[in-house]
Amino acid sequence: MVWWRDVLRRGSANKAKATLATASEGGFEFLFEGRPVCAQTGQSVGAALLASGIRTLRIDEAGNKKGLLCGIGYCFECRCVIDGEPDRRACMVEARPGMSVRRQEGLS
Amino acid sequence: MPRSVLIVGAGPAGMSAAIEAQARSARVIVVDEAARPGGQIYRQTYRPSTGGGAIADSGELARKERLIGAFERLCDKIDYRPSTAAFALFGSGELHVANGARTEVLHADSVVLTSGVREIAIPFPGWTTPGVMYAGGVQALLKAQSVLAGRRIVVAGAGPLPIVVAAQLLRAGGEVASLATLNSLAATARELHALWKGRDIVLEGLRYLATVIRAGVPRLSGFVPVRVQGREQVESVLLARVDRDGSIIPNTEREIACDVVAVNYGFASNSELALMAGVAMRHDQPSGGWVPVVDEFGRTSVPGIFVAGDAAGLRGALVAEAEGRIAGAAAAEREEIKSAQFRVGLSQDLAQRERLVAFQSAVQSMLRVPTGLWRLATDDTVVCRCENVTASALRDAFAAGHLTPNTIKRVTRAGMGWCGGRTCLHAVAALAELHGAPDAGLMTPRPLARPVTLAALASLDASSR
Repeated sequence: MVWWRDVLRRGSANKAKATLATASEGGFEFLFEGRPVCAQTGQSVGAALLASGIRTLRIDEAGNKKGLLCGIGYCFECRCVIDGEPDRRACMVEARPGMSVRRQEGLS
Repeated sequence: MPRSVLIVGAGPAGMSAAIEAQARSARVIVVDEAARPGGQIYRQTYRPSTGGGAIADSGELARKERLIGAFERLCDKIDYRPSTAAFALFGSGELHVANGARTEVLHADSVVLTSGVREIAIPFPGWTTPGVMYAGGVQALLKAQSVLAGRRIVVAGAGPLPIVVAAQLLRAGGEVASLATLNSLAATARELHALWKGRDIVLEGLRYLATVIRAGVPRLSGFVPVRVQGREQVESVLLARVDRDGSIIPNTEREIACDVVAVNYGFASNSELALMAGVAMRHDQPSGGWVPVVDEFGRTSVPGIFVAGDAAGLRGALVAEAEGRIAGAAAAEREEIKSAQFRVGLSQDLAQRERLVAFQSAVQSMLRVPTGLWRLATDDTVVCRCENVTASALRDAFAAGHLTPNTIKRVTRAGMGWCGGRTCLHAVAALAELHGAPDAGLMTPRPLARPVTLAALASLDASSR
């Protein structure tokens, strides 16, 4: 079965082509809990925080730590306080230079 | 007399519906929650020059570029509204939308709903810990943001998505600690006749599988995540083998160190708007739970309201594209549908759908989850994440005789939070059925299908009504 060999080859050939953005190229900084975090132009707040290893974005009314779940805006688990405004979804809001993001605790 | 066609969603079905309706001289409005067209499957990267591209299969990429290109060429001829959420639809075809701090009421002769599906997970102890994500969410971060969700990722669940996500993580240079799948591929492979009909997609799937095999990722067939360890964030996950009924087989647990667990057990149709408008529904768990009943042209029980693509039952992007064209044409030429000429013009799309639907039902056999898996939630496991409703609170409500979604919601608050029940309702219904609910049925959907501020509602201009 020649096509099977082709399948295996193509399955691995793609790996070299994939490139992930790194914090060093064309990035900027915003603040999370007062500390600078790197982001790329166009990146969401949630993605930039995750790339910096920050997973807890909210502490809910019962004290549970919460982070990204659906990543596309429907679960509302990643609500945080952005520039003083609560309940903004980290996965949907584009990061901007100088933005100030805080963990949301309880209802605000 | 040009008709007006209002389309909700700009994924494969929505984009093709718009193209077809506009080609038939309809006035077209497209509302979509995302900032850019593509939907979930054809999600676009924030910087087209890097990332995202090379991790997906070449076949999928070619389809994505062709369709998004065609839609973007159309954008100056239609009224395309990105970053706009549809939050209410009535049987009259009146659609309420919100864009930031403003709301508006839209009317059209026909409404085509192409709102797709959302992911589902089966709650298990520790699944609310930061680091547990839907597999599609992990994929979206990779596709759209070029971010690996973690350093060591366990991918788990049922159906084809976990395999695709594991392969894409590897192609992006990530580490996949383990791939745990509920069913073996052999179960699907038995339906060879149906698979042959979707051979192009099967080839794409095999290429993803080949990536996983060549990388030497440990594959655990018949295993599911049963507990996450770690207080602040995920430190490890316990995987265990389950039997045909979904019960854990003793002494099969394996602890895998990781910082992300990516789970997907299939999908639920985003059918809230159709339900709100009074569209008749049918229940079919693997194809999306409660899905609107549609005819071959996407017509629902409510005249003028059409549903196309995965929102009418999970069948993938190729069916969505064909169905979008069919529904877009039908929505633009409502009274012409009976004519033989109309059908001949769409014969290719109708045949394409016919061929692929047989294939997709073979794929769906992988998404039949045994009911026992819902017992993974222990008493203190949170089921409704928005309102922190635990499995024991739900079981107390069931024991007190509350077995329909409407009463469970009133008694426990499950489904009342920010997400509108989109994360927990399927789980609440499944748990109720385990406790003897004859048919948990549907929760009555009410506006708002999305959170909208009072200020945005108050901004509604009286003249737009």
